[in-house]
Amino acid sequence: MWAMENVMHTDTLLIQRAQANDRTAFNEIVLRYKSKVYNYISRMVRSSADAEDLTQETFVRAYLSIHSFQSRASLNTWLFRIATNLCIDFSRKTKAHIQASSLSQTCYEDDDTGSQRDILDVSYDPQRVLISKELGRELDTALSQLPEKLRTVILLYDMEGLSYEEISSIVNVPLGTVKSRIFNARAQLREALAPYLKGVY
Amino acid sequence: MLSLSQKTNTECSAICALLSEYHDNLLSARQIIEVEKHLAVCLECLEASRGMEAMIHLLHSTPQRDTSDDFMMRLHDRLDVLEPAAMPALPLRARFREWVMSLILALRIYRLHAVSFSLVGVFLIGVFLLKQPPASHNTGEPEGQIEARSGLAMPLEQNVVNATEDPFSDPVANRLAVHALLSTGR
Repeated sequence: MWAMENVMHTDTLLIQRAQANDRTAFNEIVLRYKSKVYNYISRMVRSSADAEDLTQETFVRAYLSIHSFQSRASLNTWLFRIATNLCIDFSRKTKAHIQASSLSQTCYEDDDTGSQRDILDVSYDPQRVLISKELGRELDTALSQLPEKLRTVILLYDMEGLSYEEISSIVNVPLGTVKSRIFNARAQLREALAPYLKGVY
Repeated sequence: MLSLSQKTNTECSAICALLSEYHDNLLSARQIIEVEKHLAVCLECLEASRGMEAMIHLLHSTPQRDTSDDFMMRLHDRLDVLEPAAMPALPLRARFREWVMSLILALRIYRLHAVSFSLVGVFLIGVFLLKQPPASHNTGEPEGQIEARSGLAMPLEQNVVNATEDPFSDPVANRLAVHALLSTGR
């Protein structure tokens, strides 16, 4: 609790400095949040090149409207709101509803080129790594087949660790709707991955 | 009246609806007991619960992705171009609002300090007020003003008396006449 408040306090100080035209402070904001924002966007749009462009666009928009940022919202929530709106616009423009067959163009292919790194869940057991990678691929496919509304909340909640309240303010729906969307998203993913999950538990 | 199988199905759907929040530890103690009691006797729901748990674990342990190495450089290039138009001055009202919001945030963060300072402040104000002498219950008019007013009243009363004794006398003319007499006498 205290740690979270301290993060918010540091964010507030960084924003105040950035609002006073301090570029170093804005750089620090980017360094703090770029991975989280990119991780979220890359699972929303799937193509790593598009994801990187949209992440850049998120921070450019944040930079341009840093003066309109109000301390009532957290910086985390604000950035994810910008990112979510950009993803929605992007999918409207390109009609990029990713299908399972389009996996050849996804980030997993880029994994081999080194532009993507596995930070978590790295085990020394080769068998487990194999299962994990295969599961990860299936998870990505299952996520891409979820309706956009469900995908947004499940990514924000389970992957980015945002609270129900924060998600509610980002996607602009009541708290109850967020809860039911998370439940539905998990249920659909569980069904889609049932054959793979049986080996896990 | 519900049959046993209908009742079980209703109960199972109610429990399944709670599984997501159950694994997030967001249920009340009573709900947790209800879920666990049901899971102890219902294999289907237990299976669903394990599936949900594995699903959540998978989502939480999915590898984090990061941007490419030249991300910051490319971003700087874009920001450099934008910089001249990027920093409009904030209106005074917005700045004041921001200042108040940051003050509220600081008070939230340093809640304990703020409460302590407020209590000490209230205590000091109380002590100061108790040390003040009680206010006097007169007409509310300061004494100096009354004296001044009586001092001013005297010449007016004198004038009234003079005017009553000799209604046609002119004080200025009288003084001039006295002055002339004194001059000729010299």
